[in-house]
Amino acid sequence: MTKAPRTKVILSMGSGGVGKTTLSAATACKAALEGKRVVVMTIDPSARLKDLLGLSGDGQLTQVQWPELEGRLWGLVLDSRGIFDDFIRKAAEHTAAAEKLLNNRLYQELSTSLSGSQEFTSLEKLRELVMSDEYDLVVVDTPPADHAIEFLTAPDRLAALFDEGVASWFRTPLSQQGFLKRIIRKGANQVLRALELLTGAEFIRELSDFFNSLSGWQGRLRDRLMETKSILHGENCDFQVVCTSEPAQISQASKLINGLTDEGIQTAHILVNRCYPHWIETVQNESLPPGLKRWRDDIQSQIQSRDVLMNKSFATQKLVKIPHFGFEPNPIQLAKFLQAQEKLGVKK
Amino acid sequence: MQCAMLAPVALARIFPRMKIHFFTGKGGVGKTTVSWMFAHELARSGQKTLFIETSEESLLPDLGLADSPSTFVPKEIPSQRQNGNQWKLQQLPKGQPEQLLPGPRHERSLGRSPERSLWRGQDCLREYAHHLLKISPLVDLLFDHKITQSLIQVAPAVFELALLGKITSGPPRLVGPPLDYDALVVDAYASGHFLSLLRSPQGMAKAIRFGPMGKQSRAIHEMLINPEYTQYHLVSLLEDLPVEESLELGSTLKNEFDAKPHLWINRVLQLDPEQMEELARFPNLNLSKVLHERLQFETKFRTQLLDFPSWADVREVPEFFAPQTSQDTGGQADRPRDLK
Repeated sequence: MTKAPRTKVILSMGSGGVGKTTLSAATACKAALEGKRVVVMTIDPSARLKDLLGLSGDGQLTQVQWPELEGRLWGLVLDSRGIFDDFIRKAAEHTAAAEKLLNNRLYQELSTSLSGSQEFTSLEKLRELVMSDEYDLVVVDTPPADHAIEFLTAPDRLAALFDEGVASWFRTPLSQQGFLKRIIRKGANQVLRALELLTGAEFIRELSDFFNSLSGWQGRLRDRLMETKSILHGENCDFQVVCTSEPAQISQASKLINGLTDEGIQTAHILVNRCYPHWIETVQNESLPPGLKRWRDDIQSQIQSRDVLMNKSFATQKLVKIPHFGFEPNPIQLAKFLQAQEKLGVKK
Repeated sequence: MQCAMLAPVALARIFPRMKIHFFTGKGGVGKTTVSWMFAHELARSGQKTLFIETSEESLLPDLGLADSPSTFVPKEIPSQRQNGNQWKLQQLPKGQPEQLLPGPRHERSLGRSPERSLWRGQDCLREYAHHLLKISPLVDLLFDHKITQSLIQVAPAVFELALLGKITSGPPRLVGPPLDYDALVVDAYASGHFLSLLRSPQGMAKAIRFGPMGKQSRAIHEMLINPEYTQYHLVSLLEDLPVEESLELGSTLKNEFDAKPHLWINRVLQLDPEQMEELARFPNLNLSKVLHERLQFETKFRTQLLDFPSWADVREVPEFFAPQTSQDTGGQADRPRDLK
């Protein structure tokens, strides 16, 4: 514990379209308003964070220029491709091998869609920021995923590729293999032939080039992974799940929380976005003509039944309910709203 | 369940020879519900329709739209669940507004319903391998072996290609097991992810010029840019971010795939004449102010959306206060809303 970095981490998770980026920025702003030095980072193809915080978006850490924050907030829109290239340059034992990979056509066309590479790069950047020990808090806006839990398991999947030795099929010439390896190799050859039938010789050639260029980086990859894992499972790391109050979203969020629990991770709190229209209190007891009354009653009963479902689904987590503002609130407005909610919670 | 009704004649006019309908849009705008609704309308108009989910897990049960999850093998939709709400769909082309009104309920229940499937990349890939290799043990070796599993899992764009390959496997490509439908309605990924899906065949074709991989990738891309086979539907809301994203996505689809997407505006405020009259008569009520403000917002965002010149057409789906939980919907049929 003595040498562990003091930097805290909050990972925002949830499916797309729930306001995850906006609320990650708000969470970071809130901490900065409270005097902490904070970084918020995202891999967001639509560059939402860039617009929200006025960042440069060139993959560099940028100080947010809002007077209220007194220079305590930095934002970072990750350039996934750049970081992956960078990592490969650092990790490959021979520069020539790295350059060969970076010039591999398959890699060039597809490295950004290489499954797991986005998750890998954001975890890699997180590790770097935490290890630098220069910040009090790092807020990570995780990439939207079908299964947000994949964010945590993606690096394992990448690592498995090397642990299981698939790379060696493409790497080691047959003549250099021992007797036992040749037997194992027999199965592999069959698989390769099947793959070739499906994809063609050119694909296999590019693929084996790809793996050849990767030689030597699996050890480093594993070391990095161990470090990252200990950050994620450490007590300095909190998970917050973002969802909306729609029944389907509540159900998705419960599944995500269960998935996290299976990974041995407790979800600290849930931010439920767009729970109710911000004006609902002003019309709650208003006497209305029949048509308008019907409209208000419809919306109120919808809010109520969603509340019931939420309380049932998230019985053990701390819930923060955020209204639908009818406009896009800026992160500082939202941060102040979150602060006010927190005070309310303390009073109760 | 909410179902919009398009008159069959109007449908035939809008989609004369079409096969594949991709639905995309920002996360959370209602892609699944709108595309599900559209699949029902195609089916009722007499087209043999397959509704395809592409997420890891079937979303229909959580949305209260079906009792059980969709599976890879198509499922029939039980007919007693078909009764939709009385929806009025307004078409808003520049020039002549065309109103498509629902037919009487008894007519609708006579129509056919779509079938539904859940197509995940890994399942599509396995099916394709089976079809091509024809030797089950070899396919099992490929997919169940720990090593190949991890290889396939990280291999670039393979799942995307497998999914698109399956979706475009009907005529004229005719690759893989036969796919016999008049229309496929694909509830596809959200904007950014959808674009990388669409771009994957081009990317692969550039990297791999020869062999089956290159050839198939080019053929898939050809189908994606041919409006006779493929149509794009964009679901949006009258709110800041969805509008912004729709306009961006609309131009990208136009520029990169030469597509004229169909625009669906979801959750539009729907007031009946009585409510509109009350709104005018009691302007000082808090609720009236709120509704007026929302109508103003909607007008502003609608104008922004309609300024974009390349929509094939524009349709609006009213906001609907649905039965709230999946348990509710599982038990009861939809609650008809009196629209007068």
